[in-house]
Amino acid sequence: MNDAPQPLPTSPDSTIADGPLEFGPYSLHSRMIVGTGKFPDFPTMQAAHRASASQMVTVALRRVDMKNPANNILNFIDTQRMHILPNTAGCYTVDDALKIAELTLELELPKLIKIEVIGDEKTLMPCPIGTLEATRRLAGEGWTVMAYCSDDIVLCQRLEQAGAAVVMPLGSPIGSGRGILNPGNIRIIKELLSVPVVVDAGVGTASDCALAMELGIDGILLNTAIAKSGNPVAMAAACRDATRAGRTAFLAGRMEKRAYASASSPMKDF
Amino acid sequence: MEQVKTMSGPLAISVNDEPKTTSAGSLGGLLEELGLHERRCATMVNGEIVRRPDRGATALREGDKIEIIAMVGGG
Repeated sequence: MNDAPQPLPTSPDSTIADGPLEFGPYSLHSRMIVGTGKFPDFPTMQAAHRASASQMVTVALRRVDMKNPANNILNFIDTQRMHILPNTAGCYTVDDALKIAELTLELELPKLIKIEVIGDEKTLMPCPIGTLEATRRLAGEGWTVMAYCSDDIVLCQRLEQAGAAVVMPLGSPIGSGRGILNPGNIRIIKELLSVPVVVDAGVGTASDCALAMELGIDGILLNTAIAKSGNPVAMAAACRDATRAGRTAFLAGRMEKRAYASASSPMKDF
Repeated sequence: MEQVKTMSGPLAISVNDEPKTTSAGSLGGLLEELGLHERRCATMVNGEIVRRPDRGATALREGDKIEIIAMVGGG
């Protein structure tokens, strides 16, 4: 006879209903946006994307490698399941970013762009002024602009006013994997903005996703944490679960912190 | 009368900064020569974007700098 507790036939899902992440014409049921850079190979990338359950994936634009012109990343992106989000990575000026945006239309992509204007070569920190100007220009031309920026509260407000559909403050410098260095700012940015806030850059591992989502933000964009992990497919799944867990915890509402102990079991009537 | 040198022979151009000699008469022809005509890519000639429908009618000239741009991995 086996008296051990038996598992439930099916594990119950979150009892809190959560809507999709919505901006522009997009409605994403996954709150995680994933990247395509730095993976060991394209098949691993594709498997990681599937494990992530993400519905939006970033790409960059570059000159075709004439030594290997058949090497086409598009063959490894499930475009039926995922929207392609082109970025302006590598741009240092507004004009370059606008040109990349124009080039994406030639690639038969819709008017959706992640604006990234780098301000400093060593730290790769985004240029607030260039990002704001590029956002203003493209939003004015009807683009859905996702603006990658530093975690400055006023800058994020200005980006919203300039027409950004999504404001994307970094958690820590891109590719650094140092997590959410200024959760206080991220929380305030989310409170002050009406458009979705997606933390972009800085995630190092699954717990960073959970922590970020517990701040109440709308989504996470990550690339290196998955691509450069020991097992990108497993890490993609871990980050997927952590993102969901963090979101559910935020919706549930955490207990209040206390300075002193408070017994979980009754202290009288022994 | 000045002669316009377009279809008279192979042209020395550069494609994504690599020197190349081509007999293609147009940008569209060059893409076919490179096996890239069915690929989703953007094209620029001497820094100016040439839209898809215009590629066939865009004649190549000696010394043209062609850029062919596509999606790559990025975050």
